Amino acid sequence: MKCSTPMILGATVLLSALAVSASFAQPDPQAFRSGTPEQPAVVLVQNATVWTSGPQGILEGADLLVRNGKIDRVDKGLRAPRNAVVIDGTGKHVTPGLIDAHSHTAADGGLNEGSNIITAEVTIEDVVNHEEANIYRELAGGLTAANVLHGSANSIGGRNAVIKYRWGLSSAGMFFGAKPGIKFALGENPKQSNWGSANRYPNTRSGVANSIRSSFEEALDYRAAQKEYAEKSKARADLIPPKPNHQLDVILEILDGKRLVHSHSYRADEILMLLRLCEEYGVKIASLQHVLEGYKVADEIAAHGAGASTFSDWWAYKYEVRDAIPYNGAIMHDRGVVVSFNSDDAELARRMNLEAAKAVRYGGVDPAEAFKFVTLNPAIQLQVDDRIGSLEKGKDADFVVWSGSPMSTASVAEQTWVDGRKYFDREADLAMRERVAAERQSLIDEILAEAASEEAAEEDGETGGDTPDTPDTPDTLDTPDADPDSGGQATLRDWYDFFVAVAKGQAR
Amino acid sequence: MHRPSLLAKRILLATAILCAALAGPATAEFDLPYVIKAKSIVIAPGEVIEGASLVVVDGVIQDVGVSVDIPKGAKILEFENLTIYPGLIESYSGRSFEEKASDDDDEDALDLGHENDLVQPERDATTATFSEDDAKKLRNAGFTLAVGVPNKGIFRGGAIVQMLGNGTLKDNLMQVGVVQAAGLNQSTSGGYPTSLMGSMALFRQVVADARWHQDAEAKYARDSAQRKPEANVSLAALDGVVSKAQPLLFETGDVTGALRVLALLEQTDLDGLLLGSGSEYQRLDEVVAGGRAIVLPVDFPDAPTIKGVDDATIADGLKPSLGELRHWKAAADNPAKLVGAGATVAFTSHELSSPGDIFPNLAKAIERGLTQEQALAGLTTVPAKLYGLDKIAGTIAKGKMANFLLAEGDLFVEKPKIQEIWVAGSRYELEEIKPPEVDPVGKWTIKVSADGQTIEGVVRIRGTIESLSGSLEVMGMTLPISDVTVSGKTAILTVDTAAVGMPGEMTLRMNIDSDSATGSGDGPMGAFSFTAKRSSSNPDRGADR
Repeated sequence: MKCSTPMILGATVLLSALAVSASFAQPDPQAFRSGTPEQPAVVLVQNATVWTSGPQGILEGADLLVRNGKIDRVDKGLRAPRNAVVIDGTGKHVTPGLIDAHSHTAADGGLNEGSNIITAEVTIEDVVNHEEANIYRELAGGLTAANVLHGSANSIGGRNAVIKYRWGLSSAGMFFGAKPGIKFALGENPKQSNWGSANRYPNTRSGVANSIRSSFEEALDYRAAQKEYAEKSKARADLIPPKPNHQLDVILEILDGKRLVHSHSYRADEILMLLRLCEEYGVKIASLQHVLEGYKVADEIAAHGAGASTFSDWWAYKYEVRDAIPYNGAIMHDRGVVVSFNSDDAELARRMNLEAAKAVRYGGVDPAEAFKFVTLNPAIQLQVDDRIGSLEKGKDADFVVWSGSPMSTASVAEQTWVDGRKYFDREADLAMRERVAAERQSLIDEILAEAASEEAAEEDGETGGDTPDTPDTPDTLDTPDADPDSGGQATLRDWYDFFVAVAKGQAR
Repeated sequence: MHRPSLLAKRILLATAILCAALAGPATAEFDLPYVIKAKSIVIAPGEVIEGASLVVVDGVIQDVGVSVDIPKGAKILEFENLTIYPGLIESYSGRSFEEKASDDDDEDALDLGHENDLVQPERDATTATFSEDDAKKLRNAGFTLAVGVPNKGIFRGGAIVQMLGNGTLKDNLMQVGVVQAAGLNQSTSGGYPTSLMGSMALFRQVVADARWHQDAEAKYARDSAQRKPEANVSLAALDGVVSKAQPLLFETGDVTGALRVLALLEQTDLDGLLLGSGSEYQRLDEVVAGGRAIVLPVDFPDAPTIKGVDDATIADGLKPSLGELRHWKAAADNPAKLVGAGATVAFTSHELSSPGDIFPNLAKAIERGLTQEQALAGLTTVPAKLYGLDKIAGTIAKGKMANFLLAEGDLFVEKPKIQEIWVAGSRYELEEIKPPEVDPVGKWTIKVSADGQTIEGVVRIRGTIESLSGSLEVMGMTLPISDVTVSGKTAILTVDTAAVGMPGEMTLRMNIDSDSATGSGDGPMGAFSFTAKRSSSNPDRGADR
């Protein structure tokens, strides 16, 4: 029987959950030793400042009620239901879990399949590394979901993985049914003309455009061949089908709108090129990534309906980004584009709340709107806003309890919850650090003690010293008793042949 | 060819008997039935017969038990102190292929296989490098059969089952293509794939292509009035894999890799075994739930280097990580945990610098909860079953190959005292190196007998007992002696004839009694016997210097 992937994923999640909750309850710097936190039936955070990222905006002195891993209500003056886990939110802020729309955290064995210009057949989903410690570190900064993207070495690169940060589970348990997507890239990285090797087609921006068009056309031809086969094989059962092609299967999903396109882009001219090319094929871009000249073509982006996932304030790190400005996010937002700020980096991903604050600093975006740049807006771009991104009834209980305003550099995430399970707790983390340091020291002591006793044993052996050191030979030698091939005792002729051969060998 | 007359047959028979009589014991012994009496015989993991005998005829076990029928003319060997164990099976003996010369001729050569060099399922380990000496190293550790597995690429080629007797592969080969080796390597030349995800994508595409190829060939056979599918020996070689007649033996690298491979096998709906990594305990339930047998290297990490741990000037990243430290502590638990959780586990000496290192490591695993029986099963019955050899190997039973070993005491101890290994009825004796009781230094005159005549020579052994060297002079030629080992009263001299262009080596065993010695030897010329006299304690007396 062929198992469907969701079935396998489901079974694995269940198994790991059972296994770890039984043995470990504490967090650990190694995922496989971290317990899956329990999911209380009811959680109530009381009297906090709640940034809903939803229609309710920011509510002060409000309560967040969670039931069975889902948001039940955000309101004031809620009474704690019986058996609720109650968190005193006085003086604290509560936000949705942060979402990073452009991450490279936790990909194993290479981020780029850099060999060819089109590599739609590869997928990051295959190589999500659940042991990556940055997952835990980013949870400590309030991040609960990420769009792990393939690199930008290809015009149509590999597929992406949208994961929840369920630290401790194996990778299969981190997927949560997000619509599949794929990475595109434009400009310097795919054309690689300044990388010293000009072996790979294309070497120009127009070549990049053409490679995408060619791939779309190839996929359409492939479909035509499949259709023709489907038609003809009705009357001719033994007609040979077209060869399968996994890369083109994926391109067809893009053309059919079944797969989201997230395209690395910088320059306005290329952004327009991609929008126009895709419109010609009826493809809608889900998100333009980086999109540092997006402010120049914000109206066109809005009209196309693409999201913009940009940096807050990175610029001047290469020639094609020389026109980048920190107002990019605010301007595109003002022109009606759904804007998010991303990390593209495992370190920056630990403090995405402060990235949101930069949209207030540069461009004066309203704080509640600015905070959506790292919550609801990336969820919309990834088309998972029915599940995550805001604190609204029925959504997943992915939320963060902050020590103060999430837009303050003085605030830290105290608790990070995913699916109504507390995956990060600052107090537990501080205790863990002590526990781990002690464990580390005890292992080191054990190794040192073992080494010392071995050394002592060796010295004893040396002073005993009557027996000579055994020569460096194997402990045993073997002698074949009866070799069926040897033909018995060596004859004179055998010896003669041997001498002749040796004489020849020595003469050489 | 006409049938020989009855008279002619009789003459032939008489000649054969005469020849056998003249040939001497070396060949005749092989044909003799053997009866081996031992202290006990472990016929299978957990099944021991005390004071039993084993009857071997023509390389096959004829009988085993406390009372056996002794065949006529049998040679009887008695070992009061030794236990007989089933011959061990090496489940993963990695094999590499010699690199193809990349001259112009090769580029022009017609390649009927897959365009990617990582996909070569059509080859098999018969053409991989494996020397008689490699076989000997495994055999000396008690292995009697080995599964030779191509070790690089994505579809790496067919594995072979071979005996670990002397001789060439022609004498020892048993099965070809018992499994197809697989892994997730990347291109080493910068070609496709450069990434792990690329290797996984290529794997899936090749499986789909092989299924298509099988289907296309079948359709073409039934309806040939259409374009013939292009020949592709690689895809054709995967027929067995996609039909689930040939399982994959898939290298995993680490436990994360194991989960990846398990998912890949499910998705592509293929049969397979895993080549384990030793870190399976980290995701034990998920690995076991995958339901695939595991060929597990019994390799545990050395303790991480602790130096500098308290040194604040050394960056933390350069010190042993918590993960490394913990793995050092936990690694030896892995075999017992996997077996205890219900996984089918065969053990392999793969990754160990010497095959014999598997014994101290298994002893460590036994300290951590593995049983003696599980350890033995992982080297005998489990691999026999996995590779479809259970009718002929894995236990000591009537009708199975006479593959077994004799050891004093338990096998899974720091240094097991293995004394003999029998491969398909051929006997290989191991000898313990005993403390030296004689000093062989000096000039020896030796007389080798051949065809009733004598070849004279001189052996010079120099140095002190701790460090001996020497030379052999015969018929005006001087051959350097590469190794001199003294065990008890025997000096074992090894002449590296490969150094003078003859493959192999020549060994002389001198049993020394003060200044005279008798001995036997073998080498490229065959086996021989000799006598020797020490003419001087100065080895260089009379030497041309």
